[in-house]
Amino acid sequence: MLNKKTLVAIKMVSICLSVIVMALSGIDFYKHRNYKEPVVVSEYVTQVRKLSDYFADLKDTINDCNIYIFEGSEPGGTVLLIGGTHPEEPGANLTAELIVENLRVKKGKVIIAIRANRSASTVTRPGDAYPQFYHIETPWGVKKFRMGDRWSNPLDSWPDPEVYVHYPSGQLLAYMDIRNFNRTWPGKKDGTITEKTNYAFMQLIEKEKVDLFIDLHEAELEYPVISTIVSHQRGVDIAAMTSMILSSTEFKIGMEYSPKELHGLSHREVGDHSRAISLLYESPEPFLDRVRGITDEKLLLTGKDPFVMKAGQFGLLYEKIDENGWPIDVRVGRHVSTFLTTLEMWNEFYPDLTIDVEGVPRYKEVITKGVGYYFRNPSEVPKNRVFDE
Amino acid sequence: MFLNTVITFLYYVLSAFIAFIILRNIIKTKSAQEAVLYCIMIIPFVLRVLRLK
Repeated sequence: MLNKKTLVAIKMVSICLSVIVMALSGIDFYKHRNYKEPVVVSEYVTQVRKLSDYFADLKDTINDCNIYIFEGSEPGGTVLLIGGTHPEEPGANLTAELIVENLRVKKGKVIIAIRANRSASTVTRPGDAYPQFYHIETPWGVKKFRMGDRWSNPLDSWPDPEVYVHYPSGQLLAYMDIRNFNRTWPGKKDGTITEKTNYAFMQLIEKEKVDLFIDLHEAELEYPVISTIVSHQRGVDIAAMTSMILSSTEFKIGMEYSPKELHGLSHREVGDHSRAISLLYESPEPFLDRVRGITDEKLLLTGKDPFVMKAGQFGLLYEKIDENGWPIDVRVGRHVSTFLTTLEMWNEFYPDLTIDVEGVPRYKEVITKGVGYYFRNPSEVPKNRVFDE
Repeated sequence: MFLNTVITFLYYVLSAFIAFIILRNIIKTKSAQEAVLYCIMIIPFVLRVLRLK
């Protein structure tokens, strides 16, 4: 039996340690949630708006993201490209940012959101050992990015329902998918913050007369929808031609039809509820595989994992993997080349709605120079070209 | 959505209440092992009340 003095001493020490752990972890969570990523927009950007300009309910919320608009000197079609639907898929937001920092539009209009669901980029999965940040080497130093999660931050959207009933289809989905930005399309005006964000993007699509919508993703190798373009039925010609051209010139990529009865996903709902043709790109990200080994920033950026490789040897994967892994440069390179080839095909099919762009590197260039080569130094440009994500 | 706001508010009230009960137990317990355990248990509740996690 402890005497009273010893017990009090143990309690005091325990409380002090508890407060220290609370402070350290609290500071970590706070810093991650409030970290700002500087983006140097290309000198050819014509407007930088906020998503709340299209739906005022989002004003001053965490999801009031930047909307970068590039207009050519000649009229043409309009494409909307979004990254950051699932912020645990960094190839998507890095691709969107690379394009924003380098793009020049000669004809038509390109609209880009780098962090479409900002809320999901302010939380990770500590229980799954996710890193809070990742770092990309650039010619001027190291650029730091927030790692995120698949779902919006529960701090912004809580409680989840027992079962998520998708609006407007009524389809039943897993409870947490009410916070999954790619299960809540076309959104709901008076819904959760995730549904309101989808609704705001639908308003943007309508008001900006978007013709083509592209949603960037990455997928685990255990998942059959990988290294592919998923297309709404109105976009299959463009998607199939893009797939064929890329597979014969740069890298293998498939093409799949968006299932008509699977609701909430962008490739289905944007096409069904707007005039825009909707496509979704997937590149391989071994970090997301459940059979992965050590879960850290190295795996996130190199895509090298012996356990995922072993799964491949047993034929359990839908994409090849070897000792070279799937580095971030390859994944981003695939996305930018797929984007550029999609636009080329678009121009073939819709010559009256041409979207002519330049300044964006292709697959081989991104792999040779690295994705970081294309990010500009925020301290070397005028402040009016720097925006926070 | 109004109901969600009410539930969220009640959740924070409950979290604060449980944190208070744990703190009370830390003070009252005569077992050193329990005191250490309560000190660990209280961390997520306080972080929730402060809206840090």
